[in-house]
Amino acid sequence: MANELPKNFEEFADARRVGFLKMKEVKDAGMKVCGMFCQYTPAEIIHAAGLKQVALCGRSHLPIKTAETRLPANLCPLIKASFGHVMEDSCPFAFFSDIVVGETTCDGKKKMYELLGEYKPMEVIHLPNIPDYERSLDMWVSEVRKFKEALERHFDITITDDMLNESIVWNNKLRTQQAHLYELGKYDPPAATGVDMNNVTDGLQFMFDDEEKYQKIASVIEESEKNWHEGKYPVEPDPYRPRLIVSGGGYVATNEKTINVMEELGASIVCYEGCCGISSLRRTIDEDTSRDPIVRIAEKYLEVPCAVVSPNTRRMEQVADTIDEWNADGYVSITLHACNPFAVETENLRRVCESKGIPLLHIQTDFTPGDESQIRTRIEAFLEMIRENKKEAAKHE
Amino acid sequence: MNKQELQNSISSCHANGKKVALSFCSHVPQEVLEAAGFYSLRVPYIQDVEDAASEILVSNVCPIVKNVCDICEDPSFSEADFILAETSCDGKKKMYELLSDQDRLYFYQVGQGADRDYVRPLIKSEVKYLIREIKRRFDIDVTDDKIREAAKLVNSERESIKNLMAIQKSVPAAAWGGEIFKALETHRALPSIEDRIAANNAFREKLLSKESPIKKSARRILITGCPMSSVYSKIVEAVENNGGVIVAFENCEALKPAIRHFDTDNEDIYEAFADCYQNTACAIMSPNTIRFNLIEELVNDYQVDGVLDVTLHACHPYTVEKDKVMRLCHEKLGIPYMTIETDAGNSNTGQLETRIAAFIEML
Repeated sequence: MANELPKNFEEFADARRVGFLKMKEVKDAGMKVCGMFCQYTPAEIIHAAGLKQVALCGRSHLPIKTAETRLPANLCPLIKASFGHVMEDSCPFAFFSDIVVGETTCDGKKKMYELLGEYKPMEVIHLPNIPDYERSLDMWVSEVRKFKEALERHFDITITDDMLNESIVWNNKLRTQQAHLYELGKYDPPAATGVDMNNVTDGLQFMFDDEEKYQKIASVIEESEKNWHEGKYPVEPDPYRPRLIVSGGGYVATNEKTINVMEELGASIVCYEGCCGISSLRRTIDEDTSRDPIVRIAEKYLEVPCAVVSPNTRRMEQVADTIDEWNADGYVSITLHACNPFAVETENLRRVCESKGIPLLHIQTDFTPGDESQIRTRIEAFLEMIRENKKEAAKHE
Repeated sequence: MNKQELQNSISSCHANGKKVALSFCSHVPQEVLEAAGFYSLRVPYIQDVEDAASEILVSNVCPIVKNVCDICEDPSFSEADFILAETSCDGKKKMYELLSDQDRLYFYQVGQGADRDYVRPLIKSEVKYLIREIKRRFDIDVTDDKIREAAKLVNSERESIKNLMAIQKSVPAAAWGGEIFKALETHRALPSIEDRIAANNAFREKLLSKESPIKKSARRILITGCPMSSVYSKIVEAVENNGGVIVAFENCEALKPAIRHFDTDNEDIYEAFADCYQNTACAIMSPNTIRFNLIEELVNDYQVDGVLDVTLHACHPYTVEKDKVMRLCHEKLGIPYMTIETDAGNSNTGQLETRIAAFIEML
């Protein structure tokens, strides 16, 4: 039945590879590019400035060796790879970026940006540490405004409120649509595989035609739902199939040894949480044009469910709700080596999962090969346990 | 400091009707805690606490984060009234969230830079929230006048640390650096700030009254980097047993917080907090210009022959900043620089000694 899959999924999977060429076309057409790394980057402002936004997060272990000439070895591979690419000029997206924006999220990135600024025009936005409106919104608004002004200066443009308002509406639309994509996972069996959902959200970071991007996602969603209602599922119905939520930060480069293996071994990833996950997508920006658009943008981004803020109570609530809403049987936290925020916070996720009566698997990995078999074995054991739990539960019903 | 000492201090404070506030970071405004009448202890590394971290934390975090976790979880200190959970580095702020007794904690927000527009308003508002919280939890009024009085004492303590360190400016240095660091550690554990000041001053007098034990040929080393409590003895021994003398510690236990000053004459007390705490030479600040300026100043004032940057395993702020410190030393100051990364254990003592001895020999 897998041949019934919407064709468009493949396009997304391939988006990053062909993105290199697309990016060159964008540049040749005279457009400017803003490289970024993080969910905290206010996409509305970049979009309103008429810039194309592209993700610069490194995914290869190759530039890490170069990066380690200036960075410590015991640091997250994403930080090292991203920096190494810029040092080597080996990432076309970084190469084509007219400006790079970073946030003072985790310690490693924030300190790395100080060095990155020696290679590329760099704008750093400071984040609050406590995600509380009363205590932190003022400073965050001031930083978001500063970023808008920096883009205006750098590109000699004016970003008006009207432009921001229009951009807010557009990005809300795109975000709501992506949330809808993850909602395909709520079906049982899911209307899309987790790997495909991930390919879409990852791939669209490298598609630069907004309207085209929107239409493609729409058709993927529509076709998946249509297929499901016609009884054509991406996976065989199976009452004991483990339904997983995957969370963490910056693990996309480890997909082959993590999320792909989970689905290959018979699980369904029904939703993603954390960086690029569902919670960011569901909260849209207030469209009330009588209020300052910068304040409205800042309000939304104060709620990014990233592990860099403390106390991160809101994320824990979102996790609990997501487990319920997607009817998940297991939770997998994938964290990169030396990522203190997500790795330490995984203990708190474990406690939430415990209170929800589901198990958590913590996978710590990096971009180098070598740990595939070990990870596979752990995933196998985890899924087997969930299957047994589900069978046991079914007996008692 | 060991566990028993801390436990005794807490009990004796309670016996005297004082509340105990524990903090672990130079960003925490001591003036507020002193003004509230707490026994405010900036807890150094405590070796004999019960292990809780290996259950709660992932293994690849810095030894200070693990130790703070152990301290906060250790039943011996369950009587401490108030724990300041400052959001300085990732490891610490995330660790605080996992502690079992969240009611004793208060999250104090730290800015991530010195020179941004938001930093001063943030310090001011965070100090106000802290004062409000102290009122709510303990029904203690922290008034401007009390803060001014407390700040005079905190300033004197800073002066006493700077003055003690300054005896090393002479050639040869007046004392072994290790002796000074150890004294600062011991004095820091004294419950009353007046006693801490007096102890620092008395120790200074004592060292000055003796003839310097240091050879004129000893190489003059500046130690900079992470907080040193957990590792100082092996570092100090490696330097001072191999022809070096530590003339200054830039670290959090010594000069880093002491170079700040609280202007008690400032009519707006919150402006004074902003002036003071904005000036923290910590690597979580991006960029950390204050630290580079401080290192430069110390290299000149203390006639330093070599800079030793001591970082703790998995401390990302300081380990990533090493690249810039190295370039500062080599390119701007023209002074030899060496960096070591270590943890709190003793397994690398021999290796450290070999490397540090080679560095000093080269000077």
